[in-house]
Amino acid sequence: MSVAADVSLAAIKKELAAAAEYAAAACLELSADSLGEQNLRFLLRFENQGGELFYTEFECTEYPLYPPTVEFVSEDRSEKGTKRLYPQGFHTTPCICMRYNRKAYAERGGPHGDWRLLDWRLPSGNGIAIDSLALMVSDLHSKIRQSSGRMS
Amino acid sequence: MNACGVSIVHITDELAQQTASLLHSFALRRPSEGVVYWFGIELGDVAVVTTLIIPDADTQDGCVHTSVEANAAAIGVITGTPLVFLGQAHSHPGRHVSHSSVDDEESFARFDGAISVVVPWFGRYGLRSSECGVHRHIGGRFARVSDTNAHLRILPGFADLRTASGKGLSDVK
Repeated sequence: MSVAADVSLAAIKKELAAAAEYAAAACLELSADSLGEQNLRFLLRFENQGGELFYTEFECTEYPLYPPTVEFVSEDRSEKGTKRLYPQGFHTTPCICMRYNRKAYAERGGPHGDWRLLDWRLPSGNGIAIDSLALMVSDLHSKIRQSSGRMS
Repeated sequence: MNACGVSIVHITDELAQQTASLLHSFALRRPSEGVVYWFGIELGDVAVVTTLIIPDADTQDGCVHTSVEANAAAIGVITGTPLVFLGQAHSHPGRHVSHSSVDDEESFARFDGAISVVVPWFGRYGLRSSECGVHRHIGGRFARVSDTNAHLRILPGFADLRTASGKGLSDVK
């Protein structure tokens, strides 16, 4: 089963309005200028408690059937997923170890063999379901704001 | 009463998780703390939360402020009932769950015996007493308690003990 790019793009655009509203309120920089059917990606800039900048890319192919691949990248996106791009406090794989990140699933090489990609919208434990782009942004913002320094 | 001379507050897991969910609802559009007032029954050394009330709080700056009018409206909901004001839960953005000086001085629930529970991560991951900051107002001021279980206990709110064969419409002939 796959999701056509135009369907994913429509879903992303629909949710991105709320994510952009949250980002603006939290003083995050959202960059979605190059978003299109051939490029289902957008970028967010976060700041940790020490004022260090971190960039995350949301790669949303086959969204919303599957969650995005959320990865820390360099500002120019030439480097991805290295420990020095991660804030302290994240899973040292390194990985954003949440159901909303495709990379966290064992079937995609991640640490979680106990999760199924199709169930990505389920809540973990007693928490709420993080099932929209705005909630993903909000969750990452909380975690990064709480952290200090880089993973390496 | 517990060793501090205040009642032990009990809340069902369903109301505890609903509290967390309501707290998180304050943070859906911007990073913002939230507050939920806990009302219930107090009988001797046991208090039981029965009712959650969200005051019309001002959270424009990301922190919770409640006006006299907003608090009066919250109390108005339980006027004429056997319910009493037991305390509140409010959220913090990260894992830090101690009261700030503002929490100490401006919380509405400032009366001896009041409980104030600080829920981390805006309530996003639920309300687990082991991860919350539990504070009691004793002797005219708030203090964070170390023995959480002596002040806050989470009770089962629901159980379905039917066996698998007794569950679900598919078994109905």
